[in-house]
Amino acid sequence: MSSLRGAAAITGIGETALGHLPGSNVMDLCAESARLCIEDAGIDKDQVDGLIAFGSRVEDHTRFQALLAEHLGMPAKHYTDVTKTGGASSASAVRTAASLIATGQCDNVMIVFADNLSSGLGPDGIIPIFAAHHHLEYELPFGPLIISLYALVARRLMIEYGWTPEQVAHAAVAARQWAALNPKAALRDTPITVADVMASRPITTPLRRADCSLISDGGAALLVSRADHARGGRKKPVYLLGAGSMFSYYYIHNLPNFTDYLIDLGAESANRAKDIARLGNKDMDMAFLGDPVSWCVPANLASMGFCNIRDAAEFVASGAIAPGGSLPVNTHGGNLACAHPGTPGQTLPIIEAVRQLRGEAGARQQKKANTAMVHGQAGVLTSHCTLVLGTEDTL
Amino acid sequence: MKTPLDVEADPTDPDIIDIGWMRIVTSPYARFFWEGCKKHELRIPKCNACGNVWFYPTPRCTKCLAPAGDWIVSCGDATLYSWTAVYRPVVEAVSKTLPYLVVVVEMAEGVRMMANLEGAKEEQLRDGMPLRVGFKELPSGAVMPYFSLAG
Repeated sequence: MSSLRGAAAITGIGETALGHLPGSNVMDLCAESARLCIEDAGIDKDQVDGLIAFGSRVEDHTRFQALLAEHLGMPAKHYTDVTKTGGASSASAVRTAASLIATGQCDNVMIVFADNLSSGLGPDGIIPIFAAHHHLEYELPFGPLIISLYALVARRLMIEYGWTPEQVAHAAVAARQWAALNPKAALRDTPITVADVMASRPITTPLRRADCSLISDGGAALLVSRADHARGGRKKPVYLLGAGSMFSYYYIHNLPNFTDYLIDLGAESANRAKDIARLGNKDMDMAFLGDPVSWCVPANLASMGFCNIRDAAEFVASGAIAPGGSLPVNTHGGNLACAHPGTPGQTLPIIEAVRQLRGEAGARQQKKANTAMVHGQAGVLTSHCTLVLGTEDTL
Repeated sequence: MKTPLDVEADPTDPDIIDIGWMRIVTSPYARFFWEGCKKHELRIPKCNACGNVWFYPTPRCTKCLAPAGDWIVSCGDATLYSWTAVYRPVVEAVSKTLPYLVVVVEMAEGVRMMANLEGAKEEQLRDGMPLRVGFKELPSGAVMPYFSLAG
Protein backbone atom coordinates (compact mmCIF):
# COMPACT_ATOMS: atom_id res chain seq x y z
CA MET A 1 0.00 0.00 0.00
CA SER A 2 2.81 2.42 0.84
CA SER A 3 3.91 2.32 -2.81
CA LEU A 4 1.03 4.69 -3.51
CA ARG A 5 2.73 7.51 -1.60
CA GLY A 6 4.20 9.94 -4.10
CA ALA A 7 3.85 7.54 -7.06
CA ALA A 8 1.56 9.88 -8.96
CA ALA A 9 0.83 13.57 -9.14
CA ILE A 10 -1.97 15.77 -10.38
CA THR A 11 -0.34 17.57 -13.29
CA GLY A 12 -3.34 19.21 -14.93
CA ILE A 13 -6.64 20.74 -13.92
CA GLY A 14 -9.52 22.00 -16.06
CA GLU A 15 -12.60 23.76 -14.78
CA THR A 16 -15.24 25.13 -17.15
CA ALA A 17 -17.48 28.09 -16.50
CA LEU A 18 -19.75 27.22 -13.57
CA GLY A 19 -23.32 28.18 -12.78
CA HIS A 20 -26.39 28.31 -15.01
CA LEU A 21 -25.14 27.81 -18.57
CA PRO A 22 -28.12 27.85 -20.94
CA GLY A 23 -27.56 25.81 -24.09
CA SER A 24 -24.74 23.77 -22.55
CA ASN A 25 -24.57 20.05 -23.10
CA VAL A 26 -22.71 17.33 -21.32
CA MET A 27 -20.21 16.34 -24.02
CA ASP A 28 -19.38 19.99 -24.66
CA LEU A 29 -18.68 20.57 -20.96
CA CYS A 30 -16.59 17.38 -20.86
CA ALA A 31 -14.59 18.47 -23.90
CA GLU A 32 -14.04 21.98 -22.56
CA SER A 33 -12.82 20.73 -19.19
CA ALA A 34 -10.53 18.19 -20.95
CA ARG A 35 -9.16 20.91 -23.27
CA LEU A 36 -8.41 23.19 -20.32
CA CYS A 37 -6.80 20.32 -18.42
CA ILE A 38 -4.52 19.30 -21.31
CA GLU A 39 -3.54 22.93 -21.84
CA ASP A 40 -2.81 23.34 -18.14
CA ALA A 41 -0.66 20.19 -18.06
CA GLY A 42 1.12 21.16 -21.24
CA ILE A 43 1.02 17.66 -22.73
CA ASP A 44 -0.22 16.25 -26.02
CA LYS A 45 -3.58 14.53 -25.65
CA ASP A 46 -2.13 11.42 -27.34
CA GLN A 47 -0.07 10.94 -24.18
CA VAL A 48 -3.26 10.29 -22.19
CA ASP A 49 -3.49 6.50 -21.86
CA GLY A 50 -6.27 6.21 -19.28
CA LEU A 51 -9.69 7.85 -19.00
CA ILE A 52 -12.11 7.77 -16.07
CA ALA A 53 -15.56 9.32 -16.45
CA PHE A 54 -18.72 9.43 -14.38
CA GLY A 55 -21.46 9.62 -16.96
CA SER A 56 -24.30 12.08 -16.65
CA ARG A 57 -27.62 12.49 -14.93
CA VAL A 58 -28.87 14.35 -18.00
CA GLU A 59 -27.39 12.48 -21.00
CA ASP A 60 -26.08 9.13 -19.82
CA HIS A 61 -24.97 6.35 -22.15
CA THR A 62 -23.93 2.72 -21.88
CA ARG A 63 -20.11 2.79 -22.02
CA PHE A 64 -20.16 6.54 -21.53
CA GLN A 65 -16.37 6.51 -21.20
CA ALA A 66 -15.90 5.10 -24.72
CA LEU A 67 -18.29 7.67 -26.20
CA LEU A 68 -16.46 10.39 -24.31
CA ALA A 69 -13.09 9.15 -25.61
CA GLU A 70 -14.52 9.35 -29.13
CA HIS A 71 -15.70 12.93 -28.60
CA LEU A 72 -12.32 13.84 -27.15
CA GLY A 73 -10.43 12.24 -30.04
CA MET A 74 -8.63 10.03 -27.53
CA PRO A 75 -9.38 6.52 -28.74
CA ALA A 76 -6.19 4.72 -27.67
CA LYS A 77 -5.99 3.97 -23.99
CA HIS A 78 -4.95 1.16 -21.67
CA TYR A 79 -7.74 1.86 -19.22
CA THR A 80 -11.23 3.36 -19.33
CA ASP A 81 -14.09 3.08 -16.89
CA VAL A 82 -16.87 4.97 -15.23
CA THR A 83 -16.89 5.33 -11.48
CA LYS A 84 -20.27 5.28 -9.77
CA THR A 85 -19.67 6.11 -6.16
CA GLY A 86 -21.66 9.36 -6.24
CA GLY A 87 -19.92 12.23 -4.52
CA ALA A 88 -16.98 9.98 -3.63
CA SER A 89 -16.35 9.36 -7.35
CA SER A 90 -13.86 12.17 -7.93
CA ALA A 91 -11.54 11.21 -5.10
CA SER A 92 -12.04 7.56 -5.95
CA ALA A 93 -11.06 8.21 -9.58
CA VAL A 94 -7.84 9.93 -8.45
CA ARG A 95 -7.06 6.95 -6.24
CA THR A 96 -7.76 4.53 -9.13
CA ALA A 97 -5.62 6.61 -11.50
CA ALA A 98 -2.73 6.65 -9.03
CA SER A 99 -3.06 2.90 -8.45
CA LEU A 100 -2.90 2.25 -12.20
CA ILE A 101 0.18 4.45 -12.41
CA ALA A 102 1.84 2.93 -9.34
CA THR A 103 1.44 -0.55 -10.85
CA GLY A 104 2.83 0.51 -14.20
CA GLN A 105 -0.38 0.14 -16.20
CA CYS A 106 -0.78 3.77 -17.26
CA ASP A 107 1.33 6.92 -17.42
CA ASN A 108 -1.29 9.67 -17.72
CA VAL A 109 -4.88 9.13 -16.61
CA MET A 110 -7.45 11.80 -17.31
CA ILE A 111 -10.55 12.14 -15.16
CA VAL A 112 -13.46 14.00 -16.76
CA PHE A 113 -16.70 14.75 -14.97
CA ALA A 114 -19.32 17.19 -16.27
CA ASP A 115 -23.05 17.69 -16.07
CA ASN A 116 -25.63 20.38 -16.67
CA LEU A 117 -28.17 19.83 -13.94
CA SER A 118 -29.27 23.45 -13.95
CA SER A 119 -29.88 24.20 -17.62
CA GLY A 120 -30.42 20.57 -18.63
CA LEU A 121 -33.03 19.75 -16.04
CA GLY A 122 -33.64 22.56 -13.55
CA PRO A 123 -34.85 22.01 -9.97
CA ASP A 124 -38.24 20.64 -11.07
CA GLY A 125 -36.50 18.17 -13.37
CA ILE A 126 -33.62 17.10 -11.20
CA ILE A 127 -35.52 16.60 -7.96
CA PRO A 128 -37.73 13.78 -9.35
CA ILE A 129 -34.64 12.14 -10.90
CA PHE A 130 -32.78 12.33 -7.63
CA ALA A 131 -35.92 10.97 -5.97
CA ALA A 132 -35.24 7.75 -7.86
CA HIS A 133 -32.23 7.27 -5.57
CA HIS A 134 -34.76 6.41 -2.91
CA HIS A 135 -36.17 2.94 -2.66
CA LEU A 136 -39.17 3.09 -4.96
CA GLU A 137 -41.29 0.83 -2.75
CA TYR A 138 -40.15 1.55 0.81
CA GLU A 139 -38.97 5.17 0.75
CA LEU A 140 -40.22 7.30 -2.15
CA PRO A 141 -43.96 6.69 -1.56
CA PHE A 142 -43.56 8.55 1.74
CA GLY A 143 -42.33 11.64 -0.08
CA PRO A 144 -38.76 12.26 1.16
CA LEU A 145 -36.48 14.62 -0.74
CA ILE A 146 -33.00 13.25 -1.34
CA ILE A 147 -31.80 15.70 1.31
CA SER A 148 -34.47 14.46 3.71
CA LEU A 149 -32.07 11.58 4.34
CA TYR A 150 -29.46 14.11 5.48
CA ALA A 151 -32.20 15.69 7.61
CA LEU A 152 -32.89 12.34 9.28
CA VAL A 153 -29.17 11.99 10.06
CA ALA A 154 -29.06 15.61 11.27
CA ARG A 155 -31.92 14.89 13.68
CA ARG A 156 -29.99 12.02 15.29
CA LEU A 157 -26.88 14.22 15.59
CA MET A 158 -29.04 16.79 17.40
CA ILE A 159 -30.49 14.13 19.70
CA GLU A 160 -27.28 12.26 20.50
CA TYR A 161 -24.62 14.97 20.31
CA GLY A 162 -26.52 18.20 20.85
CA TRP A 163 -25.62 19.76 17.50
CA THR A 164 -27.86 22.76 16.87
CA PRO A 165 -29.04 24.23 13.54
CA GLU A 166 -27.57 27.59 14.65
CA GLN A 167 -24.11 26.06 15.11
CA VAL A 168 -24.25 24.26 11.78
CA ALA A 169 -25.48 27.43 10.03
CA HIS A 170 -21.94 28.76 10.48
CA ALA A 171 -20.85 26.26 7.79
CA ALA A 172 -23.16 27.93 5.26
CA VAL A 173 -21.96 31.36 6.37
CA ALA A 174 -18.28 30.36 6.01
CA ALA A 175 -18.95 28.96 2.52
CA ARG A 176 -20.32 32.37 1.45
CA GLN A 177 -17.31 34.11 2.95
CA TRP A 178 -14.97 31.94 0.90
CA ALA A 179 -17.17 32.36 -2.17
CA ALA A 180 -16.76 36.13 -1.89
CA LEU A 181 -13.07 35.56 -2.72
CA ASN A 182 -13.77 33.35 -5.77
CA PRO A 183 -14.84 35.19 -8.95
CA LYS A 184 -16.38 31.93 -10.29
CA ALA A 185 -18.55 31.24 -7.23
CA ALA A 186 -22.29 31.61 -7.83
CA LEU A 187 -22.98 33.23 -4.46
CA ARG A 188 -19.90 35.47 -4.33
CA ASP A 189 -21.97 38.65 -3.97
CA THR A 190 -24.52 37.49 -1.41
CA PRO A 191 -23.00 37.28 2.07
CA ILE A 192 -25.25 35.84 4.76
CA THR A 193 -25.37 35.67 8.52
CA VAL A 194 -26.43 32.88 10.85
CA ALA A 195 -29.67 34.82 11.37
CA ASP A 196 -30.24 34.78 7.59
CA VAL A 197 -29.75 31.01 7.49
CA MET A 198 -32.19 30.54 10.37
CA ALA A 199 -34.71 32.86 8.65
CA SER A 200 -34.52 31.06 5.29
CA ARG A 201 -37.51 28.86 4.55
CA PRO A 202 -37.60 25.33 5.94
CA ILE A 203 -37.16 22.63 3.27
CA THR A 204 -36.97 19.38 5.23
CA THR A 205 -36.40 20.09 8.91
CA PRO A 206 -33.93 20.82 10.38
CA LEU A 207 -32.58 21.82 6.94
CA ARG A 208 -33.44 25.29 5.65
CA ARG A 209 -32.90 26.71 2.18
CA ALA A 210 -29.54 28.24 3.08
CA ASP A 211 -28.34 24.87 4.43
CA CYS A 212 -28.76 23.35 0.97
CA SER A 213 -26.37 23.40 -1.97
CA LEU A 214 -26.78 24.95 -5.39
CA ILE A 215 -27.93 23.23 -8.58
CA SER A 216 -25.42 24.11 -11.32
CA ASP A 217 -23.86 23.29 -14.65
CA GLY A 218 -20.16 22.69 -15.05
CA GLY A 219 -17.32 20.39 -15.93
CA ALA A 220 -14.08 19.50 -14.24
CA ALA A 221 -11.08 17.48 -15.37
CA LEU A 222 -7.89 16.26 -13.72
CA LEU A 223 -4.77 14.72 -15.17
CA VAL A 224 -2.94 12.25 -12.95
CA SER A 225 0.59 11.40 -14.13
CA ARG A 226 3.63 9.34 -13.17
CA ALA A 227 5.53 11.29 -10.55
CA ASP A 228 8.86 10.98 -12.39
CA HIS A 229 7.28 12.42 -15.55
CA ALA A 230 5.38 15.08 -13.60
CA ARG A 231 8.56 16.85 -12.51
CA GLY A 232 9.26 18.02 -16.04
CA GLY A 233 5.69 19.29 -16.54
CA ARG A 234 4.40 22.78 -17.14
CA LYS A 235 2.99 23.28 -13.65
CA LYS A 236 4.16 22.43 -10.16
CA PRO A 237 3.04 18.82 -9.55
CA VAL A 238 0.72 18.11 -6.65
CA TYR A 239 1.49 14.65 -5.33
CA LEU A 240 -0.94 12.07 -4.06
CA LEU A 241 0.50 11.15 -0.66
CA GLY A 242 -2.25 8.86 0.52
CA ALA A 243 -5.74 7.59 -0.25
CA GLY A 244 -8.37 5.56 1.54
CA SER A 245 -12.02 4.70 1.20
CA MET A 246 -14.96 3.03 2.89
CA PHE A 247 -18.19 2.04 1.19
CA SER A 248 -21.26 0.77 2.95
CA TYR A 249 -25.05 0.39 2.65
CA TYR A 250 -27.27 1.99 0.00
CA TYR A 251 -30.59 2.53 1.80
CA ILE A 252 -30.97 3.74 5.34
CA HIS A 253 -32.89 0.72 6.65
CA ASN A 254 -29.90 -1.42 7.53
CA LEU A 255 -27.53 1.20 8.90
CA PRO A 256 -26.65 0.24 12.49
CA ASN A 257 -27.24 3.88 13.46
CA PHE A 258 -27.31 7.32 11.86
CA THR A 259 -24.44 8.83 13.87
CA ASP A 260 -21.30 7.01 15.05
CA TYR A 261 -21.51 4.34 12.38
CA LEU A 262 -21.50 6.90 9.56
CA ILE A 263 -18.83 9.15 11.06
CA ASP A 264 -16.64 6.10 11.78
CA LEU A 265 -16.93 4.92 8.17
CA GLY A 266 -15.55 8.25 7.05
CA ALA A 267 -12.87 8.09 9.72
CA GLU A 268 -11.70 4.71 8.50
CA SER A 269 -11.38 6.15 5.00
CA ALA A 270 -9.49 9.21 6.26
CA ASN A 271 -7.25 7.19 8.59
CA ARG A 272 -6.11 4.94 5.75
CA ALA A 273 -5.24 7.98 3.67
CA LYS A 274 -3.34 9.59 6.57
CA ASP A 275 -1.49 6.34 7.36
CA ILE A 276 -0.26 5.97 3.78
CA ALA A 277 0.70 9.66 3.70
CA ARG A 278 2.44 9.26 7.08
CA LEU A 279 0.83 12.55 8.10
CA GLY A 280 -1.59 13.54 10.84
CA ASN A 281 -4.27 16.20 11.09
CA LYS A 282 -1.85 18.73 12.57
CA ASP A 283 0.19 18.40 9.35
CA MET A 284 -2.74 19.42 7.13
CA ASP A 285 -2.76 23.02 5.97
CA MET A 286 -6.36 22.90 4.72
CA ALA A 287 -9.36 20.65 4.19
CA PHE A 288 -11.77 20.09 1.33
CA LEU A 289 -14.98 18.11 1.55
CA GLY A 290 -18.35 17.46 -0.02
CA ASP A 291 -21.02 19.82 1.31
CA PRO A 292 -24.33 19.06 -0.41
CA VAL A 293 -25.90 20.32 2.83
CA SER A 294 -24.29 22.36 5.61
CA TRP A 295 -24.54 19.44 8.05
CA CYS A 296 -22.01 17.50 5.97
CA VAL A 297 -19.31 20.01 6.92
CA PRO A 298 -19.08 19.14 10.65
CA ALA A 299 -19.86 15.49 9.91
CA ASN A 300 -17.02 15.16 7.40
CA LEU A 301 -14.62 17.20 9.55
CA ALA A 302 -15.28 14.73 12.38
CA SER A 303 -14.61 11.81 10.02
CA MET A 304 -11.43 13.47 8.77
CA GLY A 305 -10.20 13.79 12.36
CA PHE A 306 -10.09 17.58 12.70
CA CYS A 307 -12.56 17.41 15.60
CA ASN A 308 -14.54 14.69 17.30
CA ILE A 309 -18.21 14.00 16.71
CA ARG A 310 -19.16 15.61 20.03
CA ASP A 311 -17.42 18.93 19.26
CA ALA A 312 -17.87 19.08 15.49
CA ALA A 313 -20.77 21.57 15.38
CA GLU A 314 -19.05 23.79 17.94
CA PHE A 315 -15.81 23.59 15.92
CA VAL A 316 -17.68 24.90 12.86
CA ALA A 317 -19.42 27.59 14.94
CA SER A 318 -16.08 28.76 16.36
CA GLY A 319 -15.13 30.31 13.02
CA ALA A 320 -12.22 27.88 12.58
CA ILE A 321 -13.21 27.03 9.00
CA ALA A 322 -13.94 30.56 7.75
CA PRO A 323 -11.37 32.87 6.12
CA GLY A 324 -8.78 33.73 8.77
CA GLY A 325 -9.61 30.63 10.82
CA SER A 326 -7.24 27.88 11.92
CA LEU A 327 -8.40 25.38 9.27
CA PRO A 328 -9.35 26.74 5.84
CA VAL A 329 -12.16 24.53 4.48
CA ASN A 330 -13.45 24.56 0.88
CA THR A 331 -11.72 27.82 -0.01
CA HIS A 332 -13.61 27.93 -3.35
CA GLY A 333 -16.99 28.14 -1.62
CA GLY A 334 -18.03 24.49 -1.90
CA ASN A 335 -21.28 23.04 -3.15
CA LEU A 336 -23.04 25.47 -0.83
CA ALA A 337 -21.79 28.69 -2.41
CA CYS A 338 -19.58 27.99 -5.47
CA ALA A 339 -21.32 25.34 -7.58
CA HIS A 340 -22.93 21.92 -7.47
CA PRO A 341 -23.14 20.48 -10.97
CA GLY A 342 -23.73 16.96 -9.57
CA THR A 343 -20.79 14.59 -9.50
CA PRO A 344 -18.29 17.21 -10.81
CA GLY A 345 -19.27 19.12 -7.70
CA GLN A 346 -16.82 17.00 -5.75
CA THR A 347 -14.09 17.36 -8.39
CA LEU A 348 -14.11 21.11 -7.79
CA PRO A 349 -12.65 20.77 -4.25
CA ILE A 350 -9.78 18.66 -5.66
CA ILE A 351 -9.11 21.32 -8.30
CA GLU A 352 -9.16 24.02 -5.63
CA ALA A 353 -6.74 22.01 -3.48
CA VAL A 354 -4.37 21.80 -6.46
CA ARG A 355 -4.67 25.56 -7.05
CA GLN A 356 -3.86 26.23 -3.41
CA LEU A 357 -0.87 23.87 -3.41
CA ARG A 358 0.44 25.45 -6.61
CA GLY A 359 -0.09 28.97 -5.26
CA GLU A 360 -2.70 29.85 -7.92
CA ALA A 361 -5.72 30.56 -5.70
CA GLY A 362 -5.81 34.32 -6.14
CA ALA A 363 -7.43 36.36 -3.36
CA ARG A 364 -8.06 33.23 -1.31
CA GLN A 365 -4.52 31.85 -1.58
CA GLN A 366 -3.30 30.52 1.77
CA LYS A 367 0.27 31.33 2.80
CA LYS A 368 0.80 27.90 4.30
CA ALA A 369 -0.22 25.60 1.46
CA ASN A 370 1.85 22.45 1.32
CA THR A 371 -0.71 19.82 2.30
CA ALA A 372 -4.43 19.32 1.90
CA MET A 373 -6.88 16.59 2.82
CA VAL A 374 -9.81 16.07 0.44
CA HIS A 375 -12.77 14.00 1.56
CA GLY A 376 -15.35 12.88 -0.99
CA GLN A 377 -18.62 11.70 0.48
CA ALA A 378 -21.79 10.28 -1.00
CA GLY A 379 -24.98 8.41 -0.24
CA VAL A 380 -25.70 10.28 2.98
CA LEU A 381 -22.31 9.57 4.54
CA THR A 382 -22.28 5.91 3.48
CA SER A 383 -19.58 6.22 0.77
CA HIS A 384 -16.28 7.90 1.50
CA CYS A 385 -12.98 8.39 -0.28
CA THR A 386 -10.17 10.51 1.15
CA LEU A 387 -7.04 11.88 -0.51
CA VAL A 388 -3.99 13.50 1.04
CA LEU A 389 -2.24 15.84 -1.38
CA GLY A 390 1.11 17.56 -0.99
CA THR A 391 3.72 19.63 -2.74
CA GLU A 392 7.22 18.42 -3.68
CA ASP A 393 8.45 19.47 -0.21
CA THR A 394 6.20 16.91 1.48
CA LEU A 395 7.55 13.87 -0.37
CA MET B 1 -36.10 12.06 -19.24
CA LYS B 2 -38.54 9.47 -17.83
CA THR B 3 -38.47 9.04 -14.10
CA PRO B 4 -40.09 6.38 -11.92
CA LEU B 5 -42.71 9.01 -11.19
CA ASP B 6 -43.90 8.72 -14.79
CA VAL B 7 -45.20 5.13 -14.43
CA GLU B 8 -48.77 4.95 -15.74
CA ALA B 9 -51.59 3.62 -13.61
CA ASP B 10 -52.84 0.19 -14.69
CA PRO B 11 -55.72 -1.11 -12.54
CA THR B 12 -55.44 -4.53 -14.21
CA ASP B 13 -51.82 -5.02 -13.12
CA PRO B 14 -51.65 -6.33 -9.55
CA ASP B 15 -48.00 -5.27 -9.31
CA ILE B 16 -48.74 -1.56 -9.88
CA ILE B 17 -50.06 0.22 -6.80
CA ASP B 18 -51.60 3.60 -7.57
CA ILE B 19 -51.08 5.99 -4.67
CA GLY B 20 -52.27 9.03 -6.61
CA TRP B 21 -49.15 11.12 -7.09
CA MET B 22 -47.01 8.10 -8.04
CA ARG B 23 -47.28 4.43 -8.85
CA ILE B 24 -45.39 1.85 -6.84
CA VAL B 25 -44.17 -0.96 -9.08
CA THR B 26 -43.91 -3.80 -6.62
CA SER B 27 -41.23 -6.44 -6.86
CA PRO B 28 -42.52 -9.98 -7.47
CA TYR B 29 -40.61 -11.18 -4.39
CA ALA B 30 -42.27 -8.48 -2.28
CA ARG B 31 -45.90 -9.30 -3.09
CA PHE B 32 -46.40 -10.68 0.40
CA PHE B 33 -45.66 -7.26 1.90
CA TRP B 34 -48.28 -5.43 -0.16
CA GLU B 35 -50.82 -8.25 0.14
CA GLY B 36 -50.24 -8.00 3.90
CA CYS B 37 -51.08 -4.29 3.86
CA LYS B 38 -54.45 -5.11 2.28
CA LYS B 39 -55.13 -7.39 5.26
CA HIS B 40 -53.82 -4.72 7.65
CA GLU B 41 -50.80 -6.83 8.49
CA LEU B 42 -47.28 -5.39 8.47
CA ARG B 43 -45.28 -8.34 7.18
CA ILE B 44 -41.54 -8.46 7.78
CA PRO B 45 -39.26 -10.86 5.90
CA LYS B 46 -37.97 -13.77 7.98
CA CYS B 47 -35.61 -16.47 6.75
CA ASN B 48 -36.77 -20.00 7.48
CA ALA B 49 -33.22 -21.29 6.97
CA CYS B 50 -31.31 -19.10 9.43
CA GLY B 51 -33.96 -17.14 11.35
CA ASN B 52 -32.79 -13.72 10.11
CA VAL B 53 -35.41 -10.99 10.29
CA TRP B 54 -34.75 -8.02 8.03
CA PHE B 55 -36.31 -5.15 6.14
CA TYR B 56 -36.94 -4.29 3.24
CA PRO B 57 -37.96 -7.40 1.27
CA THR B 58 -35.18 -8.72 -0.98
CA PRO B 59 -35.08 -11.84 -3.17
CA ARG B 60 -32.62 -13.55 -0.82
CA CYS B 61 -31.99 -13.57 2.91
CA THR B 62 -29.45 -10.82 3.54
CA LYS B 63 -27.63 -13.04 6.05
CA CYS B 64 -27.40 -16.58 4.64
CA LEU B 65 -28.51 -15.77 1.04
CA ALA B 66 -31.17 -18.51 1.05
CA PRO B 67 -34.18 -17.74 -1.18
CA ALA B 68 -36.53 -15.42 0.70
CA GLY B 69 -40.32 -15.43 0.73
CA ASP B 70 -41.37 -16.18 4.30
CA TRP B 71 -42.42 -13.53 6.75
CA ILE B 72 -43.67 -12.77 10.23
CA VAL B 73 -46.52 -10.40 11.02
CA SER B 74 -45.36 -7.47 13.08
CA CYS B 75 -47.12 -6.78 16.36
CA GLY B 76 -47.47 -3.21 15.04
CA ASP B 77 -45.59 -1.49 17.87
CA ALA B 78 -42.70 0.80 17.00
CA THR B 79 -40.63 3.63 18.42
CA LEU B 80 -39.60 6.86 16.75
CA TYR B 81 -35.94 6.89 15.64
CA SER B 82 -35.74 10.00 13.45
CA TRP B 83 -38.01 12.46 11.69
CA THR B 84 -38.15 15.37 9.27
CA ALA B 85 -40.99 17.69 8.31
CA VAL B 86 -40.99 18.15 4.52
CA TYR B 87 -42.07 21.63 3.39
CA ARG B 88 -41.07 21.32 -0.26
CA PRO B 89 -42.77 18.28 -1.83
CA VAL B 90 -40.65 15.92 -3.87
CA VAL B 91 -42.93 16.71 -6.81
CA GLU B 92 -45.75 19.25 -6.89
CA ALA B 93 -48.26 16.44 -7.28
CA VAL B 94 -47.57 14.91 -3.84
CA SER B 95 -51.02 14.61 -2.37
CA LYS B 96 -50.00 15.25 1.21
CA THR B 97 -50.70 18.33 3.29
CA LEU B 98 -47.54 20.39 3.79
CA PRO B 99 -45.54 19.95 5.86
CA TYR B 100 -45.72 16.18 6.04
CA LEU B 101 -43.71 14.07 8.45
CA VAL B 102 -41.26 11.50 7.09
CA VAL B 103 -40.05 9.28 9.91
CA VAL B 104 -37.78 6.32 10.50
CA VAL B 105 -39.25 3.92 13.01
CA GLU B 106 -37.87 0.92 14.86
CA MET B 107 -40.34 -1.95 14.86
CA ALA B 108 -40.62 -4.07 18.00
CA GLU B 109 -39.21 -6.92 15.89
CA GLY B 110 -35.93 -5.00 15.56
CA VAL B 111 -36.05 -3.72 11.98
CA ARG B 112 -36.21 -0.10 10.85
CA MET B 113 -38.47 1.33 8.19
CA MET B 114 -39.40 4.68 6.68
CA ALA B 115 -43.00 5.87 6.73
CA ASN B 116 -45.22 8.87 7.25
CA LEU B 117 -46.32 9.84 10.74
CA GLU B 118 -49.90 11.06 10.69
CA GLY B 119 -52.04 12.95 13.17
CA ALA B 120 -49.09 14.61 14.90
CA LYS B 121 -47.15 17.85 14.63
CA GLU B 122 -43.36 18.08 14.56
CA GLU B 123 -43.34 20.00 17.87
CA GLN B 124 -44.85 16.97 19.66
CA LEU B 125 -42.16 14.54 18.58
CA ARG B 126 -39.55 13.10 20.95
CA ASP B 127 -36.82 10.52 20.48
CA GLY B 128 -38.09 7.01 21.18
CA MET B 129 -41.80 7.90 21.36
CA PRO B 130 -44.05 4.83 21.09
CA LEU B 131 -45.85 4.58 17.76
CA ARG B 132 -48.43 2.27 16.29
CA VAL B 133 -48.80 1.13 12.70
CA GLY B 134 -52.06 1.79 10.86
CA PHE B 135 -53.31 1.17 7.33
CA LYS B 136 -55.02 3.63 5.06
CA GLU B 137 -57.14 2.81 2.01
CA LEU B 138 -56.56 5.24 -0.86
CA PRO B 139 -59.15 6.20 -3.53
CA SER B 140 -57.53 3.70 -5.94
CA GLY B 141 -58.11 0.89 -3.44
CA ALA B 142 -54.39 0.68 -2.60
CA VAL B 143 -53.59 0.22 1.09
CA MET B 144 -50.57 1.97 2.57
CA PRO B 145 -49.05 1.59 6.02
CA TYR B 146 -48.54 4.69 8.20
CA PHE B 147 -47.71 5.38 11.82
CA SER B 148 -49.38 7.44 14.52
CA LEU B 149 -48.58 8.24 18.15
CA ALA B 150 -49.47 5.28 20.37
CA GLY B 151 -52.16 5.57 22.99
